[in-house]
Amino acid sequence: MSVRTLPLLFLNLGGEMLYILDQRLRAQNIPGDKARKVLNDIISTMFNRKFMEELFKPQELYSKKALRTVYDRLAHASIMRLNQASMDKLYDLMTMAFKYQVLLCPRPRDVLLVTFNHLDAIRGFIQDSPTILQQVDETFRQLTETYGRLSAGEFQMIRQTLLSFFQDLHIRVSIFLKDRVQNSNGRFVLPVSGPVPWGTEVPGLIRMFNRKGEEVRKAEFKHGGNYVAAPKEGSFELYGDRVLKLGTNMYSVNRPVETHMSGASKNLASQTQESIAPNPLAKEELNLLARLMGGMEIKKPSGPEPGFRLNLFTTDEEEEQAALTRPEELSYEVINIQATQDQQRNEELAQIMGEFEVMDQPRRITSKGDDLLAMMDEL
Amino acid sequence: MFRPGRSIPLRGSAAALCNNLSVLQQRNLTHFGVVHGLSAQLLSAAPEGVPLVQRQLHAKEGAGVSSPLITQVHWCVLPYRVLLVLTSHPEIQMYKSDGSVMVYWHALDSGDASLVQAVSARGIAASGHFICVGAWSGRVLVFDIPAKGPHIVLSEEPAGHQTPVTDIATEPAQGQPLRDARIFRQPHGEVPVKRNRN
Repeated sequence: MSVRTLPLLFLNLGGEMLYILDQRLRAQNIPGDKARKVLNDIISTMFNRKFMEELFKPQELYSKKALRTVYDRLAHASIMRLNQASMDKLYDLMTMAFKYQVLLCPRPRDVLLVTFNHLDAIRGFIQDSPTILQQVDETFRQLTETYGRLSAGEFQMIRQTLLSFFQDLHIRVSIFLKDRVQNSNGRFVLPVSGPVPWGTEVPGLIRMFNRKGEEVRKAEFKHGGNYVAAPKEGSFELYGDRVLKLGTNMYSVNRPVETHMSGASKNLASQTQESIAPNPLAKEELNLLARLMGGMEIKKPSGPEPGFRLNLFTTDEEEEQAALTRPEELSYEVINIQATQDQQRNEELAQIMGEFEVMDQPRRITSKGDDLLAMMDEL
Repeated sequence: MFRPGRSIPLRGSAAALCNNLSVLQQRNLTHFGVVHGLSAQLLSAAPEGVPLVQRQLHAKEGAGVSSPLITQVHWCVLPYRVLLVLTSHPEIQMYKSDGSVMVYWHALDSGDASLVQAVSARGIAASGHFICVGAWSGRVLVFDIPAKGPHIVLSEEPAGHQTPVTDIATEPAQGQPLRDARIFRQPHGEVPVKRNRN
């Protein structure tokens, strides 16, 4: 398991979230200045220096539920509110989109280009805010510093870690189904045509070498695909043509985003362990999460600016219906910790859980876990 | 070219890794090994694809690693026995061919790895009575396997690669089982070839 995977996971999922929110804000005809404020607030929170510092520390990936908590908080960093059903749908879309991008990356290293595509688009959202722009550029530099010199083998490890996070998730997304990049069983389609990864040859040739390493024979074979050489390598610079389209914005106002809950998976045994067994590392995960979110500065809704509710569905009725019919195994309860034995520990965990509520609560300092609580922001 | 035969369902999904399937033909049974993620799945099937036994193997949790990912599962056919080898993030495990008993376990040496480098192994091949495993450090671990029993020894660790080894293949030389060539694949496309010193 690579300990450098979290920044890539977080930034790309965050990028997808912004694409979807931008599309919904326009589809719901939210006034331009309000929409811009929402995106600015979220982006500014995402790229906060302290938050980024925590994010880039070498650490293992969080569980899906723990990460969902972070995005829940991020989505509410501004005057916008989302109901549970809309937040669920948002997270489904985000995860399936990034899963698709990682799976389809020609080389493991190309996940960095996907990340840069997201950041390029984010720059577009905040063109009028030089301070936030600077934060994004700083993150670019941090990405280059952290990942620029990694070998292909290390990127392969990162890729495997990312894909294990998404394993067995087969939610069908209407945009993917329409574009035929996803089958009706929720699996993605691997292309058998198009450019080969940069640095590799078009298949079709077998070369045979003797013991001295000299080429002695060639043979050709038919592979049934239709591949061409890669035209050029994507740029890893601060600005440049990334070449790769994965990670660019595929949503527009005219392409509504729908998900279809795929039928309950036939094999409950194949579910990741976290959903069934109590997680013995729950407390450790909460500590990590607290440090991460402690770095998040959430602005309180200030002044006369009224909040508004964003709906990821076309109507309110649809949203209600989705909440009622969501399959059990796909429910994202905000950190469902099953504390096992200790009564004292149960109380402590319950208290920490309480701190995650998005409400105005006075900060409680207790003797146990002072530093943990101290790290959390007032909401 | 090929026609699909009968499908055999596995208990869990296969991880999206390259070449994630190892097959062993033993007498009239076919054994399949697939990496799921945190576990490796073994399935034995009778002729006509009738599934018989399924088993799951897990990587051990090393110090500081809570969820070790398995990188490869592969059967090694040696002159006197068959061993099942599992490589994962912190270690190499070897089992009897049916996966029932672990006969050997080797923790990968973090050595010069900085805290953030993923210490892992990938690339498994049998060569005579040796099993070769590629490591993150670019080294190849060569294990000397006795005809039976758990007395397996790490006999050498030839270096020479600067980047992680991702795959290994071996070729038996005609009539000279001890003079084997080993081919290692590295992620940058290089294919160095090494010869056994014996």
